[in-house]
Amino acid sequence: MTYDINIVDVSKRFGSTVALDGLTLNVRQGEMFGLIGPDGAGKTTLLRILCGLYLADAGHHLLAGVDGRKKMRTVRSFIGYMPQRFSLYPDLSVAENMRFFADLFQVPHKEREIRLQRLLEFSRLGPFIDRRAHALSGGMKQKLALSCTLIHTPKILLLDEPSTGVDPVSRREFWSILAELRGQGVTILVTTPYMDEAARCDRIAFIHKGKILVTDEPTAIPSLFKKNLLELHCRQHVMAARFLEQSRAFESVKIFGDRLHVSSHKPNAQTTRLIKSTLAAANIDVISIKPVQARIEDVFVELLQ
Amino acid sequence: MHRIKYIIQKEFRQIRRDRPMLIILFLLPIVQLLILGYVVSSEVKNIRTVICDLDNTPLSRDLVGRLINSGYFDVKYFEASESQLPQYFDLGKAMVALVIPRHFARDLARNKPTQIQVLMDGQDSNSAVIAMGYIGGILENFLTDRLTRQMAEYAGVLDIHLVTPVIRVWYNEDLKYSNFMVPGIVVFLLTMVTSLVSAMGLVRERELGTLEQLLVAPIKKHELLIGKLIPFAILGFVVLTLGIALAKVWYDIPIVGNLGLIALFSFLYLFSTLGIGLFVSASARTQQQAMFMTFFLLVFFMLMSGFFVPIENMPESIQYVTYLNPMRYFMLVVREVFIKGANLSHLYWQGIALLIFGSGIFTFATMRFQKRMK
Repeated sequence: MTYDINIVDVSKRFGSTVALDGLTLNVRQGEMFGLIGPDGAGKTTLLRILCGLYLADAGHHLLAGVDGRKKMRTVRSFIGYMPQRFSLYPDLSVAENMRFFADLFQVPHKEREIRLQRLLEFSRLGPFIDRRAHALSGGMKQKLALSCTLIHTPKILLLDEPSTGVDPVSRREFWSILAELRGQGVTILVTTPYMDEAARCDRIAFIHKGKILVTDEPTAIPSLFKKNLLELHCRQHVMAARFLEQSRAFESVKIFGDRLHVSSHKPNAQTTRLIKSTLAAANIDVISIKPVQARIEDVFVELLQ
Repeated sequence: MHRIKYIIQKEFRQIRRDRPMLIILFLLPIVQLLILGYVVSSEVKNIRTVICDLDNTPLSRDLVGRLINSGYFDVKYFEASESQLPQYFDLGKAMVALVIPRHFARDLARNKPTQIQVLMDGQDSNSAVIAMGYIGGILENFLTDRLTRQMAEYAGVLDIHLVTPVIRVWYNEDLKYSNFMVPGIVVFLLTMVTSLVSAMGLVRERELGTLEQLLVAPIKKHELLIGKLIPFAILGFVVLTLGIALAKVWYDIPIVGNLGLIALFSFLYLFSTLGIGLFVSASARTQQQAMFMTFFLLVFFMLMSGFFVPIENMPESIQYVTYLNPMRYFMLVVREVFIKGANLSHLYWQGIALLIFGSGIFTFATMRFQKRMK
């Protein structure tokens, strides 16, 4: 197995805040790797260390086998980094922004125009080529940002919450573009707070307090959930959750949308009875209770405790 | 090398599209120069004056006439009663009051000592002192003429020799204050445009977040900084040229010296101002912060440069502080070259000072500007 990104024991602190705490992570060549974690878990810090914006306090990392600390400029020529708030020059047009980044990365002019056309087609920004960046919609800005990141055909792509603040349709489109890139063999490390996006990755890792808690394929993650899980549909579900929690009879009670996920080590039949009696006492109507397969969220919520 | 070119290209493209910035860059200096050239003047003219001529004789009227004809005094009021004079000051109607006592002419004719009272509003002490000087001069002339006449009458001598100073002013023959101030304003504008705009230009990229992208690109720090600063240096020269042209055409300031010398020293001076812009942008997070920091520094530089207040008039300890001010040297150079036509052999100390400051500030600021994020 060849790895494109090796992160070994990397630590970083800002004053008294520990952002990364001896983090180790390996990303395979050509895979789409999702880094998931709550705000402040260290996702952005990790990506910034990888592209050389921060210097790690300890540990080291290799990108395509090249030491990221010692050969920063070499690394920068083959990685593409898209920060959380990728900013374009609002007063430059779509094409001017792309050409500028192409020039910065010293893409030869002939090649530049070919790639420009290809990326415009790829991102469907063709009709807006002369529009100033400030006049683009959120989704289009994001696609332009990605196009600028891709103009030097990086081998490794580091994306920091690329779909935050983008409408659902553009989000889906953006992820299908990423899937296409993956098909072309680009290694992608992407951070996201959305679980549905995590499911689109080859592998995901859960980061919390500067450490990786678990790494696996998205489909394998639910099996890490070792308890029985029931999905409860009832009226006044927020109040119901409070009552169930106060009864201390269950391992965990979590709200997922308008449903509750109740986990327990006890058999399902016993748990069901317990739920019903608890809610009956509180005068809350139960609509349905059924056993469900744990989802990625359930595992992560569990891990957070 | 190519990357520098691309950044310069991008920078000019952005400047061209940023209309408010263009106005700040070009229109404002022109307007400032046109207005400031008149405002910034310590010439005292049109002094509002009230006359209280209690004598009212041909002699007293002669004296009043001299005052009026001097051109410095704007005699607006004639007051018959001395007791009314304070209200002229209270209401700000007059700055100077001249009281010619009763029997002024008679006493003078009888060779009795006589006095003229001059009352002054001392709020603006500078103008008051200058006005006092004018009055002294007018009185002196008045007395000399009288003396000459009297001696001629009594002794029949027509040819009387008194010592009269023959004054010749060098360099600024007409004593035009604008000849001194307008070159100063040009210096100030050059300083402001280059330091403020360069600071804002870099901080704007930080504020936008585009700096993060530039930092991860395989571009060296010096390429980035040179690419960002060259456009502002060029703009500085444009503003300078504009300023000099305006000084010549509008204010008719004689430019005695060599303009090439001005260009050379401007080049040296730009290292200081761009260095300051760079220093500010390495520290400031927002354009607003950058603006405040730059203005604070600019006010300090301006006051300590001899622009308004001659450095020789400052307390000695402050005079030493002015040596730390690059604007002080450049101000001197520009004025000397403009007015006196000084050449390099007179100014090489200033050149060395500017070189030291420029490279010092520039190096320090470059070191502070990190290619990493804080």
